[in-house]
Amino acid sequence: MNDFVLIVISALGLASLYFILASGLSLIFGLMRVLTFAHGCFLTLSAYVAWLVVREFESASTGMLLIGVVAAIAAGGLISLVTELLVIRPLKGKELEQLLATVGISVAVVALIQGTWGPDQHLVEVPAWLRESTGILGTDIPNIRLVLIAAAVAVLIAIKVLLGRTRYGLVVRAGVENAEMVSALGIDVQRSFTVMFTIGGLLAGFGGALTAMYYRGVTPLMGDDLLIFAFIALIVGGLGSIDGAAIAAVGLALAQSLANFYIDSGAGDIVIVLLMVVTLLVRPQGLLGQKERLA
Amino acid sequence: MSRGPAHAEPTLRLTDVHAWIGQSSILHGIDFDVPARAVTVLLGRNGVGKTSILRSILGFLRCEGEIRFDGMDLTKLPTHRVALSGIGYIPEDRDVFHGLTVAENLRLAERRGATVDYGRVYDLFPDLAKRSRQLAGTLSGGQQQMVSVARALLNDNQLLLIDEPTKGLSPRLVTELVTSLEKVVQDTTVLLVEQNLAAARRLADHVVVIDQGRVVADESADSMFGDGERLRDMLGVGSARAARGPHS
Repeated sequence: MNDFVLIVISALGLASLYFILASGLSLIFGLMRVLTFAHGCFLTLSAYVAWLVVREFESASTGMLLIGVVAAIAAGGLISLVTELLVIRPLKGKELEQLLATVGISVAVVALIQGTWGPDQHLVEVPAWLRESTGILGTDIPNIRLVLIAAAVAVLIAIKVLLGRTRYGLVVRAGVENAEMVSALGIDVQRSFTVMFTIGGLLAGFGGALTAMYYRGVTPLMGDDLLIFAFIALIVGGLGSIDGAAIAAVGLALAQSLANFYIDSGAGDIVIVLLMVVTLLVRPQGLLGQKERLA
Repeated sequence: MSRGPAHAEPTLRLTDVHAWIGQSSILHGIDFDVPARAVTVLLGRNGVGKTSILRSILGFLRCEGEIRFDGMDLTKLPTHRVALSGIGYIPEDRDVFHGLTVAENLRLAERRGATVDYGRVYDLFPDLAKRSRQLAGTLSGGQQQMVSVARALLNDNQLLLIDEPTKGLSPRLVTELVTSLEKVVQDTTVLLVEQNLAAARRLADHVVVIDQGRVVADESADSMFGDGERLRDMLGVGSARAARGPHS
């Protein structure tokens, strides 16, 4: 029982990372129809920014950590903004070129990070309470897992509020259906694209900080490793569906963790890929995917 | 439905407008004026460039030449700037946002800092007030057309571009919609694309006939609809029947 509870809550922590990365991808794809492979390197770069900030402090405190998180979010947003303005916008309407450009950015940024800070892992100091555990249902659950879950829930709520309760969300939901008509109503859709791409970057930055805390370290390929699972969550959940991405992230992480524990270490990755294949065969649009719709 | 002589200065003037979709040239030097406080109807067979003229004005198509509105050349502006300059658009296929409610569709059309007139909209289409929380995608074709028209009327536009508003509607709905449009056009300048000649005749002050991306006639509605034979020749349809009366 204890093992099961630990696995489930650990899986939810992992699902949180998948979801936070996938949610940014989903928002960007939902409005702009851009599949960006640069999202993983945005996460990595943001994690490195968090590490650079945190290591400037002598002792690991909560305040230090928060500063690192804010710096990572800002870095993610900034690199996304620059990418949208300099790469995505000039290639507007050329989906293949956009996709290939983001692959190029990803390769270049990872190479830059490796060239600057080396290929090895750098440790990230976290406050003592984040290394401790909390008893839940008789099982000691690492606090970092609970932080990840809380962060993912907060992100989900924030996105739902943004899309459902604000004028900007209205523009996004309408733009997903028909961006041309939105512009004919006097709304600058291009600016909405830029804002949405930047929000995706902010989420990648947040994910970068959380991933650095979770693994208590940063490596040049940490973002790309997570990006694969985020893409699978995006596809299984349904491209452009935030709710679908959340459900898929939880389902995939649970399946992955349970398979790793009960079948064999490494079996989880195979199970995830199989689940994606089965989903595509049975329901090609994904769990909650709809044509031209952001749920 | 003449509303008296048009003002001397046109609201919109197209001068030598050429437009392209991809590499294909579709408009070949369009010249005409849209007089103020009048309804100018674009007539022509399918595919001759009527909708493309509206889309060029809105900045959806790559075009050259001059499209002058309120002292500005619209060819230099992005679409949202064209709309904000005071141009409302009612598209051919309604293009309401299916995943938004009626109220959200209208709220999206509100322009920041501008006065919006919900009273005018609900006076014309009282049904919309009752259906404000209904998803636009679940409305009938006629109701969706009301939403589409209402979006354009919410703001105080100087010019309305209306593309085949009666397309796909039942005869009863066409009659209702044209009656509503007759009220709308009382105090607004309108450039209308309409294939339903009976509806066009009821609304038009001025007629521009397009063929193969060029203007082939530009004259008053009375003159154009008064010569059914010529109109039939130009359009290649049974326009003589339409020329006989507004309810044919």
